[in-house]
Order: sequence, then structure tokens, then C-alpha cells
Amino acid sequence: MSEAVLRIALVGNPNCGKTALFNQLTGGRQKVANYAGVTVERKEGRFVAPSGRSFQLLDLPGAYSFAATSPDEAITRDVCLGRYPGEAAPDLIVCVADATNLRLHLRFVLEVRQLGRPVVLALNMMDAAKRRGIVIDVDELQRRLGVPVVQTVAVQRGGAKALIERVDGDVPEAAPSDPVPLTPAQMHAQVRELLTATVTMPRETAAVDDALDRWALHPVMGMVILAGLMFFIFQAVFSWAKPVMDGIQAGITWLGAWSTGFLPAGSALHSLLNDGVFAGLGAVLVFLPQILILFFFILVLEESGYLPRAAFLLDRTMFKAGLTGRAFIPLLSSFACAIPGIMATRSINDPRDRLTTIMVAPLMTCSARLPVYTLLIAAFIPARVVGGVFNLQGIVLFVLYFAGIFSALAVAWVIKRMRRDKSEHALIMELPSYRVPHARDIALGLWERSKIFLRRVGGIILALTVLLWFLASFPGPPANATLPAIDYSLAGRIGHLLHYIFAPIGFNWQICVALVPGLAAREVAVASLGTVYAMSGGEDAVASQLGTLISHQWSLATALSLLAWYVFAPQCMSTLAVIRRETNSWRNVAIAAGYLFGLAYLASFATYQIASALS
Amino acid sequence: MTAFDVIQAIVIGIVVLLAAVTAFRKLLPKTATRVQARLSAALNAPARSAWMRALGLRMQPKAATGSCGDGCGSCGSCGPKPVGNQPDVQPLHFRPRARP
Repeated sequence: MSEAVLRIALVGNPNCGKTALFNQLTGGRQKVANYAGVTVERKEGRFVAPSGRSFQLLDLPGAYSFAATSPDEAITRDVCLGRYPGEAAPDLIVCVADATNLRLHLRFVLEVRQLGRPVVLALNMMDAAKRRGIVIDVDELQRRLGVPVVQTVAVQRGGAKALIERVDGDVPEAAPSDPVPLTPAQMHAQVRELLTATVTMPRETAAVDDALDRWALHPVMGMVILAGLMFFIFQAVFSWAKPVMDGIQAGITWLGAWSTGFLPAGSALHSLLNDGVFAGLGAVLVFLPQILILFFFILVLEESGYLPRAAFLLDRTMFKAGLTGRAFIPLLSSFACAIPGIMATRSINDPRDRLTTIMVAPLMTCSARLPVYTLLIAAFIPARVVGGVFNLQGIVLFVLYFAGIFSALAVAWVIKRMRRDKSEHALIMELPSYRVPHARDIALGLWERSKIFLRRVGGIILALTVLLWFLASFPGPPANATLPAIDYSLAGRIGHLLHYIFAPIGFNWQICVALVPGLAAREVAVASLGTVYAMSGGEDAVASQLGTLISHQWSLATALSLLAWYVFAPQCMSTLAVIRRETNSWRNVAIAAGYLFGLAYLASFATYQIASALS
Repeated sequence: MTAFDVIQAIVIGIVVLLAAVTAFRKLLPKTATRVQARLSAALNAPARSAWMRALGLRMQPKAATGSCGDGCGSCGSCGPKPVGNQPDVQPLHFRPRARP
């Protein structure tokens, strides 16, 4: 008879290492970072203990208490209490606690114990605790709590060995619960009592953290450091990527020439490969190094524990704009992609604050905008050195990112003015200890980003590029045609039709054609421009020449107008779909799409008209 | 029409069809799953021939909730599919304010 699979739930305060432990046990690669609120969904995985026994593992969002105040905490509460729809309560609860911060984490441990279910306490980050000279009498803690206690280091290989051994044994007895639930004051008193009896701490906070925070959290120096960091990142995106980008371009050009060499020139198949696949995909693929450089810095900042400090520094500005402090992490996640950012708003308990954050999240500059921005910047902004150190192109990229942040704050401010409910919520956020990022985690994070990007290139971008090539090729030109064939095609006709709407903002018909498939995802517009120009001009290696080509054919005003368009336009169907799911309302989708397209048109119109008048 | 023209037309037809199906599935996953389920049911009807029924079976969608489950990692990457009957979503709920 096969043994039933034991269901284990990982619970604990935010940022105690639950997901790192989950990844360690299951071999998963769920996102981890050094700040609270990364996990907002329930994740599930399986692992097999050395004895051959199978376990089902649930990774739950972090919670400070079962008195849930936000939707993500409600998931944890409902799963632990067996109230989650279609799911029984877990057989065993592994309560993870940060060994360096037991004063805060033991309170939740007492709440979990109160459930009267089998519980194992995992004291995580024991390596950091030892480094700080924290001594924990594990046996005494176990005796006083009445639940098994194990020590773990979730970020170290083999760091969960003690936990595996414990869960692989007999299921612990139900934790002893108090007959009358403890009041919060009683719980705090009990935590103090436990700490006095079992924990010796040389000092409450780490000396390194205090020293670094004196600079990082300084009202003036902190802002200077933050601005300097962001500035450096955008400089690096332009300066470091060039050699690799040149290599990729050369590779694509060679591959294009080699693979189409055996096909008769002028045949439809030759055109599909050359103008569709290589011109389209090649135009996007070259931006991989820049995306990876940007993500390298994002991952390092995430792992280091600096980001919550940045949230603290920006809280006053965000508060004045009508955003809650808890909006910082969702908005920060939106720099990678608006979808996880919008989902991360589940950590915001006030529904109106959450809706405001969802509405402004698409304004954060996601990585899909990077190919569009860098294509246009490289083509139109000279690579000049300013002030002896700064790259002008990097400065323009910094300004574009800042424009996204500024417009998000402005929109949030307008929403705040329109709201009847004027309630305000102060930022309460844990500042984690600084940590040296693990090279392996950074490498894995970059590998994941590369896979996501390449999957998009080989999936939706390739599919839409092929469809665009088809629409740009058929129907063929008439016998007496004088213009390029694409002008007579379906795509050409759509482009010419849309041109009436977009002419006031300086877009030519080729840009109009690219905007249509670009509605699916922003980078598709770059691939589409590659295909459209390859088919208009018969360029053989447009993948490597798109930038040069548009710099000759477009005015500076048009390029700036397109940049302004991409700061605002919601050219991403997935984002709109997630807004629908998270708000449960098509009306909110219509409002978001309407105001973003409206802003995009207005900004592009103003940019084009002003730039045209000045030039 | 030469043999090359015929092969070219077939290859382009297949590639464009595959691209259209991929785009449809990626952009409208739930609709695509519904269409796939209907097509599969129509082919798998008792009156159909054996090969059509086999094709219908093969076409049956794997999950009823869409192409990716309801978990979401980022645009372009899917998170794990939740196991419960209910999708793991927490949509906004507004309660009307009590009138004074």
C-alpha cells in the first residue's frame, strides 16, 4: 500500500526565507529577494526525502498575523485554517522564523502554535545569526514552545538537511495551544519571556547595517546615493552592452545570409526568411545584452536589501502623490514587467490604494520598452560624452525612466484629488539586513530572464512577425505598380489608413503598421519595423541596419514623439488582461487603456509639435 | 507552376497557419482553449471515423483554465497552476460606505 503524500505548508513573517527554503527543497526557481512582500501567491511543489517518501510543499505569502489585513495574508490564513476553497488544512505547518530577528518572528510562531496543529519551527538564517554573535538555546526553545525546532540556512546547499530529516520522521504531535486565545499584549509578554530564557544577542541590530544606514537613509545623502545608483545603471546599459550587441548583430547577419543563400532571390520563401524572420527577430534579439545588464543591477539591488531603503527615502514623495508606502514594491516590480507588479498589489490592504497602484503600474518603464528606447536613442542621440564622464545616450534613457516615474506620481495625485475617501495609510516596512548577493542566485536570475526573453522572441514575437510579413506581402502589387510592393499589401493599406490618425503626432505609415502588432507586446513593434523596412526598401541586412535606416528616414521630432508615445501607451495586452483579473472589472480596463492612450497621444502631439517648431 | 512554387506555397501556408494559431493561443488563451475543446468534441463524436476520433482525442485541451493556468510569473512566463477548485486570485472588492 502506498503511503499518502504529506502536505506541508511553509508559513512565517515576510522575508524570513520561506521561498528560498521552498526552492532548496523542491529544486524550484521561484523569485526570491531581500525584502518583504515578494510572494503574493500560493506556490506548490513536491520533493522526495532520502527515505523515498514524497511530500507536497506549499509556499505561502508572508504574514505578520492571522488577523489578515491584505489579500495575500488572507491566503495564508485561509490555507492554515483549512478555509481555502477546495483544499483541506495542511498535515504539517513548517513555521519559518528569521533567527536574527526572533523578537518580531516569535509572535507569529505563537499564533501558529495556537492553531493546535502539528508544527515544526525552522530557525532560518542561522549563519547570519552566528556571524552576529547571536546564541540560541534551541533545546530550551523547543521545550518551552512544545514544538520541534530545527536550524536551517535556506540559501546554502544542504542548508535544509535538518528540516528534511525532521519532516521525514514521525509527524509531530499537535502543538500545545492555550485554552483561551492569547491577547496581543499577552503574546508580546510571552515572546519577551522566551527571548530572555533562550536567546543571547550582543546587540539588537547588525553594526554593519547601522553604519550603512547612516548614509543610505540620510535625507540628503540617501537621495544623492539613490540618484547616483540609478544614473550609473543607465550609463552601464549603454556603455557595457555595445561589444556583445555588435557580436549578436554580426552573428544574425551571417546566419541570415547563410540560411537564405540557397533560395532563389526574390522568391516568397527568401523574403519570409530574410525580411520576416531575420529582419524582424534580429532587430529585437540584439537588445538582449542591454536587458541583462539592467536586470543584473535590479537583481543585485533586490538581493542586497537596499530596495526597502529606497522605499523609505521615497515614501514622503509617494505619500504626497497619494500613493501608499506599500505601493513601492509593486511599482518597483513593474520595472521588470507590469504583470508581477500589478499582482504584487495584493499586499496593499486598502482596495482604493490598491486600485490606484494598479492604474499607475503600467507607467513604470518595463523591460519590454528597452528595445524601443535604445533603438531610437542609439539612432538619434549622439554618443557624446557630457561633463567629461556621462554618456548622453545614458542620460536620455535616465530621463525616460524618470518620465515614467514622474507621470505615475502625477496620475496618482490626480486620482487622489478625485477620490472622496481621503483616508491615508502610513508606511510600515521592515528594513532587512544588508546581504552580499550570491553569485549563483544572480546567475540563475539572469538565466531566467534570458529564457523569458528568448521564449518571447521565439514565441509571440516570431508568430506576429510572420503574420505581419504575410499581411505585408499579400496581395501582391499590380502589373503597373510604381511603389514598393508593401504599399499595395493589406498591411500597407492599414498603415496608410492609420496614418490619418497619427500624422499629427509625426508618425509615418510604417510606424503605424508596427504599432498594430505592437499592441500585443512592446518589443514586437521593433521586430515589425524591421520587417516593414526590409520589405519597403529591399535591405538585405536590415537587422543590423534598422537604426541607421530610421535615422535617415525619420526626423528627430518623429523619433522623440515615438519615445513619448512609448512612455505612456499601454501596448501590452497581457497587462490589460491582468488588470481585468485583479480588479474583476472591464470598466477599470477601459479606464486604464483610455487614459494611457490619451496621455500617449497628447504627449506625442506636444513633443512632435514643439520639436518641429524648434528644428 | 514549378515544383519549387508548390513546395514554397505549402511551406508558407503551414508557417503562417502555425503563426496564427500560436498568436491566437498566446493572446486569447481562454478563447483558444474553448475553441480547441469544441473542435475536439466535434471530431471525437461517435459518428466520426477512427482517425478523426483519434485526432479529436489528441486535440483535447490539457487544462480547462487556459494555456498557462492562472499563476503568472511575468509577461512571457507562466507561474504554477493552482491546485484548488478556485483560481488563486484576489480581485478587488469595494464595500459601499455606510451613510451617516
